[in-house]
Amino acid sequence: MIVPIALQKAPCENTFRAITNALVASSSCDVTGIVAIACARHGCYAPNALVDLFKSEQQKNVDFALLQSIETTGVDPDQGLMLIYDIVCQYFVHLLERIGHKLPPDLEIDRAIGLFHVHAHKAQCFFRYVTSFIPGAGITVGEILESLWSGLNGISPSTRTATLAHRAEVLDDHACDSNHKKLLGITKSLCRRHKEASESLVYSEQYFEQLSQAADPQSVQHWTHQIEAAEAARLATPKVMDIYGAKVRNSATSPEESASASNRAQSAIEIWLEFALMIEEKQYVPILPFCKIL
Amino acid sequence: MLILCFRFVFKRVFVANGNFKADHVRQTKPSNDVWLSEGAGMVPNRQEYFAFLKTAMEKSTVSSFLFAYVAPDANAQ
Repeated sequence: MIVPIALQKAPCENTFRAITNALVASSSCDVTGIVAIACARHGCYAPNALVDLFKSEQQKNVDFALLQSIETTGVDPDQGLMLIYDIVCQYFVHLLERIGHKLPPDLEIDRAIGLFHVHAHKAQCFFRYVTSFIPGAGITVGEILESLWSGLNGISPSTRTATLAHRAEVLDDHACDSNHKKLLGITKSLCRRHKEASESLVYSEQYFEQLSQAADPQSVQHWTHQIEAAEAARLATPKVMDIYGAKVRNSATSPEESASASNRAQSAIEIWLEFALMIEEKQYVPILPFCKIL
Repeated sequence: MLILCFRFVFKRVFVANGNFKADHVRQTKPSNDVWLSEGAGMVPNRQEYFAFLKTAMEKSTVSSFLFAYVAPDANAQ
């Protein structure tokens, strides 16, 4: 069956391994990986949402996992849902067209990008999708699956050459065990987190007050209005969150200054220093940001 | 009314992520395996999953950078 691929320019133009991998089919592997959905708050795997990938991370695999997790965890439309996914800025574009008819009616879906992955995106994605700027998201890193993977990676290589049924059951057992351990430890963990949150709330409030006092009260009021307006409109138009970004004026040296600087005769030391800087620039190898932590 | 004020407390927050270490090597001799607990745990029911994938709408959103070398491949199909 020929599946038409509609190519549309996404708001974020960065390329990610999750997407480039999606276009590579493997000949030696019949399953190229897995995708899971977990609760960002408790770190439990969502039932029936640990799906196999056959041609790497395609959107339809994630779509199925999302639909299953909504169903199995009984998400009520009144609750609302937020999906934190490393390439959500692109995944979300056609989400409603793809699975809108299968989603519960009136379910409001918010989207965010985890705090590790967001730095591999364009700068604007940071303001639009980072959990820190989303009201009600809490202090959520949104990368709980990375730590769950680290546990699962201990056993997944041993299932690489097992039969498909055995593999599925071993992965299933370990994921269920992880959830069970979470359940056993949740009381202790919540008590510790509550204490931490209460302590840091006091500190944050003090800090915020000091910061607000240092600024002009009219400006504070203006900024508050701006942010509140942006937060109200961000679900429909994520672009409004760009106001969080600093407006940096292009403060390059004025043409006269640079002209006079270049005309001035340079001393031997200045020439030597300039040459050394040039060599250093040539040797500099930029460290590419990781877009997918395996 | 109170619930509406604190709606964010009840919001379900999901994280999705892929893992490429948990792959599976194609078997030379396919066995007639029996799934004992299919769909009962974290792994979904295979039939439901395959049925979804067959009818799934595919609309990949790729960046303009990828467009250059994906387009000929798409035409070749």
